Amino acid sequence: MKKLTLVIGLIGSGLVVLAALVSLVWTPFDPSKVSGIRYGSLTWPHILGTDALGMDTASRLMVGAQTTLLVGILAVAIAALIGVPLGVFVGMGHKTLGEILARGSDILYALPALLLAILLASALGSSVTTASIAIGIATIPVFQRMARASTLTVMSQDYILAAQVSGTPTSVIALRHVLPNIAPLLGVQAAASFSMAILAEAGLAYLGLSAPKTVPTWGRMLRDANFLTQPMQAVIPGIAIVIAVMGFNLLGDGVRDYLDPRLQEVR
Amino acid sequence: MPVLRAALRRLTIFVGTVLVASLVIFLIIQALPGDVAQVTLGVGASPDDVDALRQKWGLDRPLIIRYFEWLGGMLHGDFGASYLKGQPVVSQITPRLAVTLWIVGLSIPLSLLVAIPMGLFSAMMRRRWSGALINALSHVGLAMPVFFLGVLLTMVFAVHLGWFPANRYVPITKSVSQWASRMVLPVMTLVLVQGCFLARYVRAGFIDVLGEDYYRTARASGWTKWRGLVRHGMRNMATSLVTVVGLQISSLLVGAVLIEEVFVLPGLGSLLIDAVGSRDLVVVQGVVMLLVFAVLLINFLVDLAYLWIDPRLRRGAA
Amino acid sequence: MSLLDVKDLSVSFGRHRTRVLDHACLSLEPGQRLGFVGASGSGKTVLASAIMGLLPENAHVEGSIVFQGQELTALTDRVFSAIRGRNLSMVFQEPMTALDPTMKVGRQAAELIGLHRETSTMATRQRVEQIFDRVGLDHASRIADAYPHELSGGQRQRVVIAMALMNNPAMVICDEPTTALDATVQAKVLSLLDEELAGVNAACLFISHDLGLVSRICTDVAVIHAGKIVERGSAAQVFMNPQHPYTAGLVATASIDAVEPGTRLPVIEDFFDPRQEQ
Repeated sequence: MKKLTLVIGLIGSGLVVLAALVSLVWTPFDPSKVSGIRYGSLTWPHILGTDALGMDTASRLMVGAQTTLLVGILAVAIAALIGVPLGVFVGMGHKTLGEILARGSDILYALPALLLAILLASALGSSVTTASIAIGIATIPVFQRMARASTLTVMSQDYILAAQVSGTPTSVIALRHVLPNIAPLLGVQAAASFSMAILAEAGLAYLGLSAPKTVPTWGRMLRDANFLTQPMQAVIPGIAIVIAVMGFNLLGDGVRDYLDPRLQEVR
Repeated sequence: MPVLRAALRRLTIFVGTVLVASLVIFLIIQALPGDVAQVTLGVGASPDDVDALRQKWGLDRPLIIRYFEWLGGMLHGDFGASYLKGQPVVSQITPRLAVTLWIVGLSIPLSLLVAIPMGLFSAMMRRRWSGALINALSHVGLAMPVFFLGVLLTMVFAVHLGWFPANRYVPITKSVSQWASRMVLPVMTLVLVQGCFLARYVRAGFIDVLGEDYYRTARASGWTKWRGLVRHGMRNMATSLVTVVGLQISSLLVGAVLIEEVFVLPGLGSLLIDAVGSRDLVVVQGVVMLLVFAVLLINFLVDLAYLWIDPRLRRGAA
Repeated sequence: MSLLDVKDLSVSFGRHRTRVLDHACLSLEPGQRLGFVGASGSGKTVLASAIMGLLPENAHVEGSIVFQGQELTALTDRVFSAIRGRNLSMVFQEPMTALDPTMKVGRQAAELIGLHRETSTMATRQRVEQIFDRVGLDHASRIADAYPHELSGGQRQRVVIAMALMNNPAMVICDEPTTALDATVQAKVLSLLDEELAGVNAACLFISHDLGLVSRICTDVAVIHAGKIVERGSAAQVFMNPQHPYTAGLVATASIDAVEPGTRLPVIEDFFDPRQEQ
């Protein structure tokens, strides 16, 4: 059961990464080239059909994986790079900073990523960057809270006290003892946040708030499809999103179970 | 009265954050690039005309005065008037807000109605295939974008089966039955997705309860597995669920825009996107403030709910 | 016929069937008190949970448990639940977590009546206050309206004991009922248990790691080691003339008074090498 989670997760996320990597060097057709066949059905050579303009769906799907992964990576990087240091500082005992941050992150935590994205897009124009920043900022509190909680756990250990008593500087304790100990948990959180970022990006793309029209994205492919005449053109990118989100989500769950075998036995 | 004191403390924090948030929103909107007068008149307009318009709209006065005017107006329910249409913002927001509130207000309780039995079942049956199946199902639901599910449901129920109309929204004041038939699919979409999401928290909460000593005490007292879990698990599970539901409501207030787009419903989110597109900043400012206020209000209510659910917090220590 | 008859009871856990209780046999007459002694991890609590039918789902149970002529291992949850809390009840080790934090203790105690009998709200409340009073909770009415976090550990354990005695059960299982309490409270709670069990003439399975404690309230003692019952007999007999080397070790470590000043305190390993058992 637990192994199954990990295997499905690996397959799902692996497929997306593979599609993105292959699309860098090869796609069946030029994803932005208009072929003669509009509204093509799912037959050779356009195995996943063509869209209203006659562009090859399979190729666009593969290129779309790039945007999906790029936004996911950027958003998680932003969230982790800001959230983790803040969380560790607060967890190591910056009292006033902690109180201010707690309030700030409460508000941020409650603010929907979509609202941020709409505001950012209206200020800077919609692009992959604004989508990533908006999702990233909205995810900061998740990492901050997680890092704070696990830092507090580490800081209550005796070996930290030993290090403090022996005069080890705080920065050294943070880098040598705290970070390595909370890293596995943060990794699992990153996988979960990654899948949530993919889902959020798909939503933004659907609203036209992510990559510009010229870049294929799964969300926009779904939106542009005419599901009355060509249902498969909406279903295919939709399934791609589900596979990606579920893949990374299960990957995180699977790794967590693997890292924490106690969870398997007790319950 | 420690309960009252704890509640008052939270009220103070709530009012404080609303004020800070209003200032931040005001400043952000002011900092947005693009002069609204310039945009309105078009690129070719003469600088004099632009200045005249700026003066007319009061944009030439100091920021701080405009902020307090805006704040004071809102306290009287006046969110200002749209630059473009000249209409009061309130009259634009109200009908849109009603649509969004209906969607959110219907889907949250219904998704709890789906999530609690689902989570209860998959927690109790987690070692059986039936529990694992429900759990797997909720994983799929968690990964399902609402707009994709919305499209799928439309294809099945509106296009293929023809049970529900897929066209324009009808306000409830015009025809209750027509309104209801148009709300079924959007609400069903949200309920399925939110239900799966919440079911995971419900499941985790109940699994925690199953390992608690007080559950063992309840069993030793003569409760059967299921009834004991409902009786002694529900409140305890709810303590972890309330926060999630609160966050869920806040994210849905804006997130409903996706559902509104799929089903062509004139809600608050689509108003916001339209206003951003046309640079109608007074509307943007009003809608954002309203949303943020709602989010903070929900947070406040969640805090109050905790005082009610968890007697340990009533001492006012927290 | 005995009140409780456990025959060849084996319990194992998980996919690897790790055996934690190995062919345990014991029986209890009505009103009899049996002390069940062993180190932590020896399988004491598993035995108690097995009798109560509260083992986790991944446990495999073999053998038979007959209580009041009924085979417990074959009962459905619904039928078994009707016995729990009425004829067979339990006092747990950890009073701090044994009560539902979101419910007033009076209501929790009242559930024991509501679950097994039909009575009026008034009568139930009266019964709860009466029994709270009996277990030495002053201001029973105020205590009944308190939440668990408002009570001390000793008070909570008294509530738990009151709940266990609520329906005058034929048998009470006590799983280290005083271990989590302060030393002074321990003595009081122990004598309370002693009195109350005698008062309703309930049989008792008293689980502890402390042979000395057990001998103060139990007439008979069984010693468990590594999932096997290695010795059983009357308390005096086990204390005076232990047959199994592990028991001898327990007795020696429990009688610290007998140690000559200046000599080393005995440890169990002086008497018993766990490796020779494997």
